[in-house]
Amino acid sequence: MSVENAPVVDVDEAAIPVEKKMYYRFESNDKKEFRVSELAIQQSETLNRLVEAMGYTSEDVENKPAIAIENIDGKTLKLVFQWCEHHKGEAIPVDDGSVPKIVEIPEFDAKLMDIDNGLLFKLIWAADYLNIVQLLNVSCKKVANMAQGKTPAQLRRVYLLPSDEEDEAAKRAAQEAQDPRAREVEEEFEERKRQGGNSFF
Amino acid sequence: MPLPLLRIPYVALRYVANHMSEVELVKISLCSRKADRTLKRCGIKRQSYFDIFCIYKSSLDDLEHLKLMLLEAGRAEGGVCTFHRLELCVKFVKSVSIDVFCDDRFVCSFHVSCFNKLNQFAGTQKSLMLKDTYIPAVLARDRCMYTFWNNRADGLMFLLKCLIERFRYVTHTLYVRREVMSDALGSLRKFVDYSSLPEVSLTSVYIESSVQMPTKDFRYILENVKFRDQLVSRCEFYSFFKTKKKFNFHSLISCSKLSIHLCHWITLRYLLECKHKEIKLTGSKFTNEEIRTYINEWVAGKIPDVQQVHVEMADFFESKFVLSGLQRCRMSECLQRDKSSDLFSVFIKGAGDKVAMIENCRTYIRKVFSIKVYSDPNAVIEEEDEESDVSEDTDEEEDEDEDMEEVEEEDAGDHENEEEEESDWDENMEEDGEEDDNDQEIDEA
Repeated sequence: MSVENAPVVDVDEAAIPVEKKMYYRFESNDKKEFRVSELAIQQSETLNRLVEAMGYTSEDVENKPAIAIENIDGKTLKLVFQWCEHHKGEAIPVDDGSVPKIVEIPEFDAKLMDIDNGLLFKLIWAADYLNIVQLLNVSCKKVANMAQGKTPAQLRRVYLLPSDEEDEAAKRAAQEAQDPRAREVEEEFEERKRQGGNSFF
Repeated sequence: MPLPLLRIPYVALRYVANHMSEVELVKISLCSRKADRTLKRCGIKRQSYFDIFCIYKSSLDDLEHLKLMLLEAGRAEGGVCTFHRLELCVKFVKSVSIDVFCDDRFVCSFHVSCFNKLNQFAGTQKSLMLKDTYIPAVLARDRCMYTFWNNRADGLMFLLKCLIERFRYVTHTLYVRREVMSDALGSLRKFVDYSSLPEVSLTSVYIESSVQMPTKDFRYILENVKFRDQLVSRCEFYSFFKTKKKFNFHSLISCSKLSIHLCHWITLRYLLECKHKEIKLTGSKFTNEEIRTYINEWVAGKIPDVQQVHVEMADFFESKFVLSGLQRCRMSECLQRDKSSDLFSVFIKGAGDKVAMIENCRTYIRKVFSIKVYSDPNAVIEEEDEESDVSEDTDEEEDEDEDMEEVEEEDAGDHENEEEEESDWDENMEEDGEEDDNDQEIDEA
């Protein structure tokens, strides 16, 4: 297990009253470990519930293995925890089903999300999985902004939207790969048709 | 590197969609059926381009509107939109252009220009891909969209066909304006030929006055323009084109409403044979004798289609002469109609339940014959009281004679002016005649 010695957030240890602050340890699917403050964890509904349920003490945090987050890699998780540390203590938007229309991307978030689209995609997945409402909001806003002033053809490229024909071809290929017997039956049927047979059976 | 939008979890996709404008969502849903389904699944109410194009009129250029409209129409069942009505106004002004209206709302406009003029247009270079054909376009600074073609007439036909195959209900309007360029006349003829295609519905033709067009092109329009739906919808032919005196025309124009200014070439035979529902003719050479023949033929049921006629005659309309011997009637009260001009009208019984309301103003005499046809099965035939009629008539005749004298006196001055005008007109016509005889090309300058 490789442990990242430096936490994702530069924490001024002296400034933190040791007895009150607790840093949880998390591990990504590529075995990278992160220490995240209790307050920052509150930004993620999923993690917050998890640590509450675990009821770890300071000793437990140090002695027990890091909490594994299986679905997220280290690079993405680092971004997630950086975001959580920066926004710790901020009010968490209530997810009542309505999504705010007007969202300003703060400067820190804009810099944090100055990444390639592959990583942004993973960040959105992580924000969704860990239920970090505000991170989901800003990252989705960034994705939405990519559509501005684009034509449908450009949007196809930006958002990797296959055409109907490409979708059909992919569907056929997937079906064939999934069921080789079906392919054999189809070939046999075609062969019989060529030979002039009226019925397959 | 692209961002695979459709692989984003639904909850997150809802956030993305909520940050997008309606037009962006429409564009994404137009990319593929899967994209459309995915947006729907994450609770985004599907919107059609046709619902929002007015809101985003100015934020998209005309080329984008055209592309989105075609894409939206193409995703209807069978690739043909049946819910929206398209109107294409083909205009021959200084250039050839098409204005596109959907359900009476303006969508976009684009010019059809020659490729060799591409360098003359300053603006943003764009392109349009239709049916695997690459079409260069320029969005000019005045926000007009110009498309460029090796052959303008073919380009016009190509664009029109691309549009009509995406919509079931498409109507066309042709405008020929006075500024029409001589090099656009080939495209004009091509459009006239196009109007005879079975899939094309032309509803209106407007030809302005002073159009710089040889008479042979005007004749080509008259002879070849086709209104497919003249029997089921209103199809209008308006012309203010000035023809020479010698001009004659023997075919019939297949429209339901005909309006011709300077129509000296329209003959009585034409009036008797045509199937128009409404006719408006100004500057005609019709005499009272001819109008009398016309009304008698109508009474005999030989002109069943006509509903309204307005003819400016060569002579003053003499109602006594024209309407003598015809059966007068009174229309039933229950019939819903405008009764404001009843006092100045005579009602003549026609064939079947037809009644003609003919304007007959006794206070002033006009060179106008105007008739409106109604269907009134309950019209009451008026018994003729010969004595009173005669006495009335004599009084009226005296009055009318006086009026006529007054009018003629008044008109004497006007006639002089008319003669002057006519002499000017003759001169013009001679010029036209020369042009026509020599089949000269119109000087572009």
